[in-house]
Amino acid sequence: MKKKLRDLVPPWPDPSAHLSLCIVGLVLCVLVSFGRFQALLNHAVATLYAGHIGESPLLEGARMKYFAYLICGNDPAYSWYGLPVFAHFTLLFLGAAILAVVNYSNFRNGSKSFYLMRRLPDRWEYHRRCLALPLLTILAGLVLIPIFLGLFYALYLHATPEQCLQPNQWEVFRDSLGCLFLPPIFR
Amino acid sequence: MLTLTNITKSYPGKKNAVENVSLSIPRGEIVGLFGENGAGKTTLMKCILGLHRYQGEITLDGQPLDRRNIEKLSFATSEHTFFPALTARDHREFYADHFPAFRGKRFDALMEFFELPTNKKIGSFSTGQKNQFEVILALCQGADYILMDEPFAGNDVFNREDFYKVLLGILEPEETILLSTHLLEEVSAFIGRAILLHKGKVVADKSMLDLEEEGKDLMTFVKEAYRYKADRVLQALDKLTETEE
Repeated sequence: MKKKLRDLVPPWPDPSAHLSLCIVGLVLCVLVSFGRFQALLNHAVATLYAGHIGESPLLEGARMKYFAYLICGNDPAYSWYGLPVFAHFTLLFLGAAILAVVNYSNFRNGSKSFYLMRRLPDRWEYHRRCLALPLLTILAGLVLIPIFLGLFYALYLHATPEQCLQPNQWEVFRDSLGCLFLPPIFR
Repeated sequence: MLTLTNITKSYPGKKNAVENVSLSIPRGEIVGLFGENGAGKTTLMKCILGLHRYQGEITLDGQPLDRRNIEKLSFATSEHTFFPALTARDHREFYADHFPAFRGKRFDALMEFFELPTNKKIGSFSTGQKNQFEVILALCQGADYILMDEPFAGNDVFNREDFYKVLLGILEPEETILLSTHLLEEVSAFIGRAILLHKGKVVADKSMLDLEEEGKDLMTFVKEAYRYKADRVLQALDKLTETEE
């Protein structure tokens, strides 16, 4: 296992540091997204009640915010929450791309070890060691996002009183897809 | 046999760095590659190693050079190709993993001979030690053709002499060295053939035996090939002095 990992990262002294960095990035993204969604969800549910959630009656005609609006953070009511729930994954992807560039540039730093890498019998070894972990991080992020999207939707349905659910959730979500990752300023 | 046929390499917007170079280097030779700065020595070596795209054909024992036989070539350069953040021990492991013919015993012996530390990052070595280590790696990769580009730039004369002796002592009959250097007089005693490049072209290619028979030393041969004008400096000094007077 250790050898396999070592073959996926540049030959620097501590190969597991690269993996730890990527795992920490992914875990942080998941935790922050989860925390932000919880806060947005609690805030949205609270607006449905006259007083404390579950203790006081529902406001008449109260309607829950669309799930898509919560995820995208584009409801004017939450202006200070402006960032989409998954915005941190954008930063993670950017970080992974930077890591790939750093990996390549390190083979030119202090020596020209890319000459050695380019003449290794395995043609792909050089690129594999530079790109594998950044690409795996991005892939893991892209797998985690739909999983957590499903989980968040389940939480949303669970927390929302049935009579407050708005129709056409899917249509609104589909129209908001472009807002999943970027803060309002870039939209 | 390493065979180069009509190798031409040009950089965008510049004249050809290497032009129509054709050479054959049989196994077991120690070949000196000489030329002024910018003559194309480094470019030619990088073409052989596949680090540059080029026109022409390079074959090794009749086969085109590719991933199947690239490990038969090794490279030592004053630009260095080791990993500065790793130790010598790490390099030993890396080379053993990637080059099946890696010569571990030779590596250990050379490290001991040059008294290089095995647990210290190569980046912290002195320039001389870095050069030594670079050459050790090239000699121990298990390659049949060892290309060296100014490998001793920055090493003192005693150190270089040690290396020449070690080189002659450890090389096996099948091992071939292509050595690019400006230190003509130092290497003249142990090379078997001299190839001279000038402005990207081969201007002379002669065995040391032929030179010996002609009663010429390497320096004279090089000066003749380059049509070096010995009185050039005197003439220039004369002109300078006249102007000042």
